[in-house]
Amino acid sequence: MFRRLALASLACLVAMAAPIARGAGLTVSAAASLQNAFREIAIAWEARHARDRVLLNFAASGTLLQQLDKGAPVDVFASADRETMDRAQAKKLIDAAARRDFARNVLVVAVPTASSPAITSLADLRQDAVRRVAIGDPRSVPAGRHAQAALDAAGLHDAIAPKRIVAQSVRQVLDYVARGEVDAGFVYATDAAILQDRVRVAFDVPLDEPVRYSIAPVKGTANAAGARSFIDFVTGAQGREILARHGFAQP
Amino acid sequence: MNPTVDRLRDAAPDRMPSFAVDIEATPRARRPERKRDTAERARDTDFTLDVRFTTTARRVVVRGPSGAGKSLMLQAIAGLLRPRRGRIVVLGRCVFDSASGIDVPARQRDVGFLFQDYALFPHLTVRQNVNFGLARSLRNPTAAMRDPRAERWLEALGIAAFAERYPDQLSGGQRQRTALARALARTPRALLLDEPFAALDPALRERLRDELDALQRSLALPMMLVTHDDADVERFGDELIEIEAGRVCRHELRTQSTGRPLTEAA
Amino acid sequence: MEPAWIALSLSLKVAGWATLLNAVLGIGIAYALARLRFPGRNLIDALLTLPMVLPPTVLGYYLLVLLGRHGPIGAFLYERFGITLVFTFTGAVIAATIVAFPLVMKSARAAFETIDPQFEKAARVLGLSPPAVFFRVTLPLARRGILAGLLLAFARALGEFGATLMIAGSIPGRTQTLSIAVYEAVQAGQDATANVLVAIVSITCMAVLLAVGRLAPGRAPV
Repeated sequence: MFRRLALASLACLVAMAAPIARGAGLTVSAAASLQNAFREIAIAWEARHARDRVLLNFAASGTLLQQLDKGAPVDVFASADRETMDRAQAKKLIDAAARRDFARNVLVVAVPTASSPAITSLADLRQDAVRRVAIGDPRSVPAGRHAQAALDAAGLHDAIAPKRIVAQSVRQVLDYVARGEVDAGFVYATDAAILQDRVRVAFDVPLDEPVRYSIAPVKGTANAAGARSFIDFVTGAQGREILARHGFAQP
Repeated sequence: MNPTVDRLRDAAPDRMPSFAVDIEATPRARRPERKRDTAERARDTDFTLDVRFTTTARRVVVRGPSGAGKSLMLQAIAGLLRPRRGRIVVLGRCVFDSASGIDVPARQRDVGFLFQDYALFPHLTVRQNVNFGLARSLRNPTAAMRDPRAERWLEALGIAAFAERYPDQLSGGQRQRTALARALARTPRALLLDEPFAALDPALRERLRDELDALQRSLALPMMLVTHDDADVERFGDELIEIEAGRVCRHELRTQSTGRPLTEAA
Repeated sequence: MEPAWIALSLSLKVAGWATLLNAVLGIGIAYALARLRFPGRNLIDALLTLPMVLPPTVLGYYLLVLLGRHGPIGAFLYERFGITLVFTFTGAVIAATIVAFPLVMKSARAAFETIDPQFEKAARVLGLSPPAVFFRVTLPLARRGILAGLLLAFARALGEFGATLMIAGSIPGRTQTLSIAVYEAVQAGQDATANVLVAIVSITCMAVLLAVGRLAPGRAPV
């Protein structure tokens, strides 16, 4: 009986030790709003590069930056704004020479489809009927940063502060809106498009600077060739076509 | 039924039976998923307790081999176990009757019970233990509580000197006396004892038998004692009931002196 | 470090309430499971232990689905009483309570089952009502095991993160507990804040473990 247990344990250990990815893998950290588009891109890229498998890691851009900073073994970093990429560049985490802008997005205020208060502008968020507004954490979510900047510019910082529900990523904001847990939320147009049956766009948020997505290879990556190839794909014809289909405009 | 017993009863018809027991009970089935080896299973008593007797004696001994069911019967009389069917009458008061749905809860049966291992509450002092049944609220008797009923028994049984001690600081004999004091403090109408001397060494046993004997006579308290020790039968068995494998196999009147004045028959 | 102290006091309040609720629920249910026999008893025990083994985010998701604005329980509470649980202090307490419940229930049940039944029998025959038996005999004899369970539950509730984040969000002063504050500080690159918070949590948990250690060995009542 002890013998059987020992054999079983050994088998488990061997199974656990076996690597999951085959071939030289490519790890891509991408902003949460890129989930759907990049999954499709990854499949298309893998089809061209039989030996390389793409591992996708999605989170808020700021979170991804922290991971990189702490030494996460990532090959490509795609952020939902330039500012986070600037910070990555300042910390010498990316190969600045190969950095590129690859997409544009529109920040919107989304509401649950079944909601009643009429919201057509930022000022409408002041209404008493609007009790909760979801926004990404401005410290780590670019969409949240843009949103807060827009609110501040419109002089609504104090009015909205008590209603703020801070989320960890733009997709989480989307989830809260879709569930009806909040009356409104700041997401990208591309995000709202995914859950059209539960979420509708109330209005586009006027911003001082456009939302521009950046992509760059991470410094010291083991798979530099793969990283560059992936970025070329994203900025190439096929990549652009996939992004366009998901609602991303060109930079 | 034993003809001798019948004759004596007929001779003294005004004697109220002390215990009238007629029950059928099954020991609680063990959970099947508990693994037991064959030896353990062989020892397991797989019987139904089916006893029937009436006695007028004030000192009754129930004897039988281990596992025969005598403890179960005693617990049924006390209300700690519910028989599947039957009728129990203690000193003229029906405390259980399955036919008419009577089942007086243990706390209202007014009997004293002495457990084989005494069941002294380890988190209470001797005095608190003895006072236990005298306090009815949701709080235990305080260490400072001095109820005359309890104090009387502490004195009478010679344990007043240890009243502040905890049960694990007492000797076997002291524990037995404490358990007795605790049971008697509530002046029960009858006393049930489950192998009260089994846990003591022989010399101590004899001494405590003397004490119990004297106590019972002075109180004239009806008493049923369960044992597998012959010496207990000798001392306390005015009437003896033998139980084996869940059934009464012998019921014998051993002496006419029952610790209580008899209206004598010829 | 103001936010750190706010998060700490909030965590203590959430954990405190959660442990209080668990004390009542856990002890009560444990007693029922230990003493009553009914079909499906072990199934119910397993179900109630589930929160301890489920990944907290899975649990958080279930809670969100059940208690959210459109969930079966959440909708009822909102329509009938105007009560919202998501993003509230109450929601955080609920998450912490559920997550720590099995710790109290299992140790209480084990403690009750270890008690020799003859003590309760003795109490009954001495004239005590069932509630009196429970408070005067059962509970005191099970005290150590239950207390150890409560302390562990408190520590668990204090460190709760996944489920809380899902259902209560991270609202400073209302639902941003210590663990969540640590997470966000790290995400935002505020290492200094994160370090302070982590130190506070670690010290608190060590203190709880030491307290539990003192209860476990030592003389148990005979």
